[in-house]
Amino acid sequence: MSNALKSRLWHRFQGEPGRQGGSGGFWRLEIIIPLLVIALLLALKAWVMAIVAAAVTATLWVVRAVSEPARRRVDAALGGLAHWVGQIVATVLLAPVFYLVMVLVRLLNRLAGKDPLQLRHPDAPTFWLPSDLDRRRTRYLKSMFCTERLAHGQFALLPVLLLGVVLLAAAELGLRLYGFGTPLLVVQDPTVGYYPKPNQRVRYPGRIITINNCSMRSPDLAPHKAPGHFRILLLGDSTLAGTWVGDQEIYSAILDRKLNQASAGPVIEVLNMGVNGWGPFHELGYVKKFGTFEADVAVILGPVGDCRRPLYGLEREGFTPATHPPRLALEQILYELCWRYRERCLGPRPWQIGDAIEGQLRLGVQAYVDLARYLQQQGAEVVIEMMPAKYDMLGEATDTISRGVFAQLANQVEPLGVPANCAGQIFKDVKPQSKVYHDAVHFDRLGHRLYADYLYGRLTQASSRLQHVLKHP
Amino acid sequence: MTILGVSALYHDSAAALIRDGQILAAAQEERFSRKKHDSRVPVNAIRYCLEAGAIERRGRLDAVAFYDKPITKFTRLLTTFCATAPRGFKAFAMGVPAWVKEKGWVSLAIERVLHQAGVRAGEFYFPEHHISHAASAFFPSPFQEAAVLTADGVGEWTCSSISVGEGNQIRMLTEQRFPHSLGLLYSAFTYFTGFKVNSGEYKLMGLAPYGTPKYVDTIKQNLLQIREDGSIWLNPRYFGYLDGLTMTNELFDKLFGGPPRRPESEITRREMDLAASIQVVTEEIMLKMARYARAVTGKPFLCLAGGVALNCVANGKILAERLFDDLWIQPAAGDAGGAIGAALYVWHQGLGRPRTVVPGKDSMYGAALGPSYSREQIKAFLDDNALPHRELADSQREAFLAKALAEGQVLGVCQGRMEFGPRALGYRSILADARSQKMQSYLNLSTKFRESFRPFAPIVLREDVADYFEVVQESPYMLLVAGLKQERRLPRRGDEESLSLTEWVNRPRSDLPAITHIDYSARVQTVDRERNPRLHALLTEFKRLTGCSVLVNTSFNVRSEPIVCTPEDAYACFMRTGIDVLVLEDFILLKKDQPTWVETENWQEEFGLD
Repeated sequence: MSNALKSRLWHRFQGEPGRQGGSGGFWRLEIIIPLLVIALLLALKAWVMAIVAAAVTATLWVVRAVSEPARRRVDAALGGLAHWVGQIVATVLLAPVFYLVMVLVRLLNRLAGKDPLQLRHPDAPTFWLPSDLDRRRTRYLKSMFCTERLAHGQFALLPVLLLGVVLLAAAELGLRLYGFGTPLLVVQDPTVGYYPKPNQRVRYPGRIITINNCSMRSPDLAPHKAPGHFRILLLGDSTLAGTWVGDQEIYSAILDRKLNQASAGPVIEVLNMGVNGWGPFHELGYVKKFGTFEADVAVILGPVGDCRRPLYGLEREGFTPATHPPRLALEQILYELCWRYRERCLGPRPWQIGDAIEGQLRLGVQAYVDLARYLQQQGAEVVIEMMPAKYDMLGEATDTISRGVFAQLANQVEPLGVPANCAGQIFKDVKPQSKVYHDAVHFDRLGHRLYADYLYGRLTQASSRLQHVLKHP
Repeated sequence: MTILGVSALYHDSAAALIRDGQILAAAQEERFSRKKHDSRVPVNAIRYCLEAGAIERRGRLDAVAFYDKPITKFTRLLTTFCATAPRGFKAFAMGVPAWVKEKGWVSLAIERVLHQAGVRAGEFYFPEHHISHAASAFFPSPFQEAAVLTADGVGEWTCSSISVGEGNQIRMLTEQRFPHSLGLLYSAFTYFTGFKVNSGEYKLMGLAPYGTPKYVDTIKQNLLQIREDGSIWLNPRYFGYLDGLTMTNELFDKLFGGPPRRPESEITRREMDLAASIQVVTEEIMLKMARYARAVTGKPFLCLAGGVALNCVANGKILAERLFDDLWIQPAAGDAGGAIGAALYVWHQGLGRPRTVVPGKDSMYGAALGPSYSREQIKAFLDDNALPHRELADSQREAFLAKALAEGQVLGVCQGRMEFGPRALGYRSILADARSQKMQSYLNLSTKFRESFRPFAPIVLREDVADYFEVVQESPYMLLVAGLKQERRLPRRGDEESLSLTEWVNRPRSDLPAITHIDYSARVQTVDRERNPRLHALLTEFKRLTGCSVLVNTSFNVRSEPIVCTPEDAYACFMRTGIDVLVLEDFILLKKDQPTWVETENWQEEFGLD
């Protein structure tokens, strides 16, 4: 006789129906989940995987239907698997909460001298605590969570939540004071790629960035050049945009001042059309869309490496700015952190891999040539003034790659009569060199000053039109 | 007005039903699900209660009382993590999903069960954990006024409390809060000596008499501070439960000379001495707490509940100290009893309904609050399965069973309503002759399949208790330990401590060797005609035959199995073990008459280890 006794009397008390996760609802799960997985795989056109999933599902159904012990083993295995998956997911989700929030609360509690578990007072005369159950007993009897503590303002969760809100508010305020929350906005455009939204005044930590009515980092511009005015249009990337220094500290502004001091009469307007992340395609697109603003001289500036930048596909770049302002400064921080993380995960850009670099460089050089030609066609005298890598500028070594690319560019613009130059080791003798650059690419205040001096010298040599308007060319 | 009380999600989930203040039914989920200490929402126990209360489909419960405040408990958990971070991530990662998934939504889970049964739930109430314990101890007690002492691991925040009960009101006066818990201290030693926490505490208590309390000073000097009022402070440096998944840590190991004993490995002298030491410390704390409770409440009676109140040795010490005129302990003192307490608390205190007390008589109905099975149901079961049996009328039945007992046979008894609480009180019990020298070993090894050192409890006729034990008052719920009468003891030979555990257990200690623990103590259950007439009749008949009115009474189960509930459970247990006679109400089944029992599964593996 087996232990499978017949019992028609007590089964109602022994079954599992109604038990959460019990057999009552399991059949639904065992059908719905595999079907969802298979549907997902079919939607992804992963035919083989879908067939494998369907086969595994069918096998499990058959095994479970045929043998009760096998069913139990299969259920136990699936349950175990689900448990471990749940554990892993929970661990991943909860780790940041635990290590950030809990540790922070602990630190704050320690700073406030709180000891909620009475761990630090073994010398108390008694460890009994008064109980105010009169208050508890009826007023909060229906509540799952309220005790007398809420009434006394001791409820642990509430101050933690309040503290969290206060901390977030303080962080938001601090970040806004520091300059976050109002990033430079851009307009997406099929011809230009993107360009700064006109008429912006953005405050970053320690500096203000003003974008004029023509998306330039310069004072507002009249549609037509006034009589007696002389315009120099500078086209370039972030080294020209100069977002690490203030409006008046950028080399274009310094150059403007120096040229006007040296001017024999005409007012010289230096227009800064430098944008973070731009390359030759953007610059060409911009002048094609908006024109040259009747510029007498157009100067193409920037590191030689800008040749690599395509018109599109820069959204994965960290410097691709926002098109809409964030609601919170914290959101901006999150965005910044995310792209840095995303950047690391994504690895090199497609055009940086293998032969694609060469191809992109060729296209970039050609785009610079096209830009020079187009500017000439618009009546501007064109000057190309490129720069090699930082270590070359500082005189530490020679940037042979940049110089090689520049040589190609110089050869191709020579027939156009465009003077092209790649700066030499112009900061070699500067002291201290550490103050020249803000980072690996961008100038700091000293760098801007020095580069403005250098550029003044270069332009007065290379531009015949400029020589004409200066007192001492 | 009908109120459903529920305790669940920690250990020993249970449901209870009261109507107009009277307890109609109460049962633990483990008895139905056959999973020891089942902590899940008590689906089956709730269904049983609804049926016992004749609440059918489209019926309505006036209120549902859950025995603690889940979210407050969760905040305690978070506060603990905040106090220990960055340590404790494992516990955090394991604990929080359980809260998010289930524990935080307990009312919805209960509503779902009721909905499936077609019953509309009334309002939900959430009395605090220790108030539920206090209510379970005071409201069913035979006292109009009493001090109420509760102690367990931890509730929301409270670990132990002193309340005063007066009429239909309970007022908590003072409490100790997490982590400074006597229950957790005891559980730490349970863990360290290789037993399962929340399950093996009674084994540790049973092991204590074998040891010498040589670690008492070490414990008191390092692990905790004890004040004269019984309040304690636990030194967090030695415990792992604040920031880990174990009760103790390396410092604790170092203090007691090595790592915890591995479960099921040999029990050494160290474990015996540790058990003895923590028992001494527990008794000291409980005595001091009781003394303080007497002082602050001024009441002459004491009610006890909470898991620590299942330490019947400490209870016996409190009684022996005569701090109170009388003592009443909730038979389901652990979390299961919280279901009754929560429901009664809502009735009396939440709704302000009066309480009627009959002096000297509690309202627990001998803890016989579970399901029972009619003659027709049992007959159908026996016939369906073609099980050979005989049916005997009352007088014949008692005579037959008493004779079988006197001949040394072991009886499995499944009669009347199943007990509520951890003790088998004669409704789902294994009975045997206490005079037999071999019975303790036989029952432990051949019937219960458990450790040989485990003692057995006696049942004795209420009127004869003073003839056998150093106790004069009744102990109907087996929650008091008393010494055997001096004249019944056999003197010690003095070499006991050099013996192995088995040799020591097998050495005769009295003329009732099967129920005499090695320190001559016994966990006494008195049997009276009013509460359990059938068991009383059997004892009387046994006494008529043998002159002895004491029998061994142990729970009708094997190790790690919940106590049997149905005749089907009883029959399976009967066939798997060394029980000779099965009693299903008036039906008697003899092992020798039964068809061969073939196991299709490894049932011992199914039940696991406790």
